[in-house]
Formats: sequence, C-alpha cells, structure tokens
Amino acid sequence: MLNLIKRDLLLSFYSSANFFFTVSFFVLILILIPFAFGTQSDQLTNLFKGVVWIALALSIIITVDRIYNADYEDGNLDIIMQKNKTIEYLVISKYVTHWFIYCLPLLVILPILSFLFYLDYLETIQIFINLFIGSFGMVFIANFVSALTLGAKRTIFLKAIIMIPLFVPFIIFGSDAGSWPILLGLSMLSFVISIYVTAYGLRLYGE
Amino acid sequence: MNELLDMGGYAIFVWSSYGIFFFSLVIFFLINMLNLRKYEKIFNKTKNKID
Amino acid sequence: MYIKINNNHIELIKSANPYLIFATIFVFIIGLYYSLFQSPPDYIQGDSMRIMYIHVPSAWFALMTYSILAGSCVLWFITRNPLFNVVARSIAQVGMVFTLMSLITGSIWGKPTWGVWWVWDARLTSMLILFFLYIAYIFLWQAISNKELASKISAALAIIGFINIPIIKFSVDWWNTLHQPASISKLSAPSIDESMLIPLFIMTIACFLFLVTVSLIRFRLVLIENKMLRTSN
Repeated sequence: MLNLIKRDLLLSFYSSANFFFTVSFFVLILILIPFAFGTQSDQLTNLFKGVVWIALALSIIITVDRIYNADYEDGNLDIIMQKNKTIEYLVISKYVTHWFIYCLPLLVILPILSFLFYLDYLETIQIFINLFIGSFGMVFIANFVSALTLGAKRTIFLKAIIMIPLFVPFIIFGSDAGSWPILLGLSMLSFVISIYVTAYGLRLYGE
Repeated sequence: MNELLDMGGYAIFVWSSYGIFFFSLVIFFLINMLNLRKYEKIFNKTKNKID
Repeated sequence: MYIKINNNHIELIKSANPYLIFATIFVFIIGLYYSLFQSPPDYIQGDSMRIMYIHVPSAWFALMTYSILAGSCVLWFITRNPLFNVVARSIAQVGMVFTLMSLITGSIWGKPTWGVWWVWDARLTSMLILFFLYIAYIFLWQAISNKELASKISAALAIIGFINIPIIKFSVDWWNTLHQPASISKLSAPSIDESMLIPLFIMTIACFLFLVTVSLIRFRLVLIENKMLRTSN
C-alpha cells in the first residue's frame, strides 16, 4: 500500500504542473465572484463561503478522469490487481494520493484567499475545518465514480451528472459553519459505500 | 361551455398542464411503439438470414 | 425461485398489448371526465387545483418506479437472474417521463397557488435530483460499450442513488429550516374532500395502466436488443 502511494505521488511530482493547475483553477473560479457580483465587502464574504464549495466540487469533478484511467489504459491496473489480492488496499492508496495531489493544495491556498475576501480568522478556521472534512467525502465519491465509469470514455459531462447529485448534501452542510459533525458522518458513510463500490467496479473491469 | 374553458380564471394553467402531460405521454408511447416495430423488423430479417 | 422468460410469455405480453392500450385510453377518458367536469372546484384554490389530478399520480409513480428500479437491481445482484435487469431497464425511462411530468405540472400548479413557478422546498428539490438520477442511470448504460458490464455498473449506480435520495431529502429539509422557514407552511396539504378522491383515484389507475403498458412494450424492446447484442458478439 505504501509502495502504491509512493508510486502515485512520485508520478505526480514528475509532472508538477498538476498542483499548479488545480490551484489555479480553484483560485480563478473564486476570482470570478467579484467580477460577477461587485466588490461590496459584506456581500463578497457571504458569497465566498458558498462558492468555495462549488469551486471545490468543480475542481474534483475535472480530476475524475485522472484517478484510474491512466493505469487502466496502459495495463498497470491489471498488474497491480494481480499482485495485490485485496483490491481495497489499492483503493485506499488511491484515496490518499488523490486527496494529497488535488485537495491538499486547495486547502493550503485557502487561508490566503479568505483574506482576499475579508473573512476574519474565526470564519477562516471554520471554513477550513469544513472543507477539510468535506473534501475527503468528495474524494471518496469521485473515486467510485471514476472506477465505475472506466469503460465510458470521454464522458466528463456524464460523470458530472452522476457526481453532482451526490455532492449536494456535502455542499448543503459544508456551507453552514457549525455542522461539521454531520459532514463527518456523511464522509464516513461515503467512505463505507465508496470502498465497496470502487473495489466492485475495479474487479469488473479487471477481469 | 365557456365556463368550462375559462376554468375560473385559471384556464391557461389548467389546460397547458393537461396538454403538456398528455402530449408527452402520447409522444413517449409512440416513440417506444415505433422503436419496437423497427427492432422487430430488423431482428426478423437477420433471423431469416441466419436460418 | 428462478423465473425464465420463454416465447410463450412474450406471446402473452404481445397479445395483451392492444387490450392494455385500450384500457389505458378508456380509463384516462373517464378520469378526464371526472377531473375536469364532475369534480367541484376547490374552496381555496379554485379550478387550479384540478392540476392535482395529474400531478399527484405522476409524482407517486415517479417515486414508485425508482423504488422498483432500485429493488430489481438489488434482486439482480442477489439472485443473478437476468430477468430483473431487463425489468430495471424497461421501467427506467417511464419513470423519467413521470418525474419530468410531475416537475412540469407541479411548476404550473405552483404559479397560481404560491405566485412563483418554483419553491426551493425539500420535496421539489429531491424530485429534481431524482430526475438527474434517472438520466445518469439511462445514459451511463448507453455510454459503456460493453453492454454486460454497462448493466452491472448502472445497476450499482441506481442502488447508490436510492441511498442518496433520503439523504438529500433530509439535508434539503434541514437547509430550508435554516434559510426560509415561511415557505414550508404554504405547502402543507389541506385535507382532501371525498369528491376529489374519486378523480384522483381514477387518474392513479390510468397512470398505473400507462406505466404497465409502456413498460411491457419496452420489456419486449429490451429483450430484442439483448438478443441482437448476443448475436452480434
């Protein structure tokens, strides 16, 4: 499992543009808020709290093609699955690497962004906690959608249609500051479902 | 008769919703029926060829 | 219990088809007569509440169809009987049409009753999400080229969607109490008079007959599709 995590992280480090692209995408969506709604500071703060979740959801949706597809197309997935009798290890290592590569940079950049939108320290911490917990749940969902749709190529819109209804509860509870326990519960539930469904999908395609 | 068409001032809402409802049900039914006919034709042709 | 579909069953379905179509049209006409002519206008809402007679059955059958869809997907995974997969695939599109109809008629009913076309209430929002779940189920099956795999994958998605619906209902309810508590009290259904129950009952039967008729047509369609896929492989 550690080997798999190391391999995926190394692969992403070699093309370090990955980090740069996801962070840029996230920042650019949030920069659109003042362009669209004007620069009144109290309004900006309110909008930021909601739109940050939409930005997170979109940046996870556009990465869904990168989780298993490369390994599936060049045959690495079959080799890994033959070596590891329990696919669940592979799945968990993918969760970790996907979160590290695509969600951690966003969380790192978040405090800087929140100062641009006039949030105070307390609000920043609350949003950070919610995003931290919620991003795990969203990563679990993205993983199983990626595993299920390996056979459907070039269907990023279809994947978005599948994923957005599943993201709705996260966005509802995430944009409210005090509801992180519910968010934690949702993330745990999605972990339980996701690990089972991802392994099921990979077994189907691996055969 | 006019009273019925008027629907107590709600004519446009009542008639448009009934119209849309039945129009789409009929269209949906026809699409499936015609598709079935088409598929049955193609299937019988290929079956005859194999036989 | 392993049910296998043979040619006799298909012949039976085929011969029942014209009777079912006739019965559907007949019951719909009776239902229309009762709902448009025979029933009195509502005390508060006036004649606009006649939309209820088509809105409520289509909403019921939208939900019922998704339950059957998810249930047959579960049964397919348990029993491995391909019949359940065929049932799921033949019923999905009818459910999508009913969901769309309940959304449209509900929206038209909402304009005179609430003054707006749409209210962000839990029932309406979860209905909208249900529509997208149907779309995801239907189009995921079409997107995957290996059809045997496609059936399994989309069945798994249907079951996940079935878990998702109550979660969304709960979360939107919670979100509503946070943002706009006033709009919910408007939606609470008043007790229905007996004279309104008769057309509602007839329309429900008519919609059920429509569901059965079109599902059986699609059942034959899906069986032929499966046979053609098998011969082409």
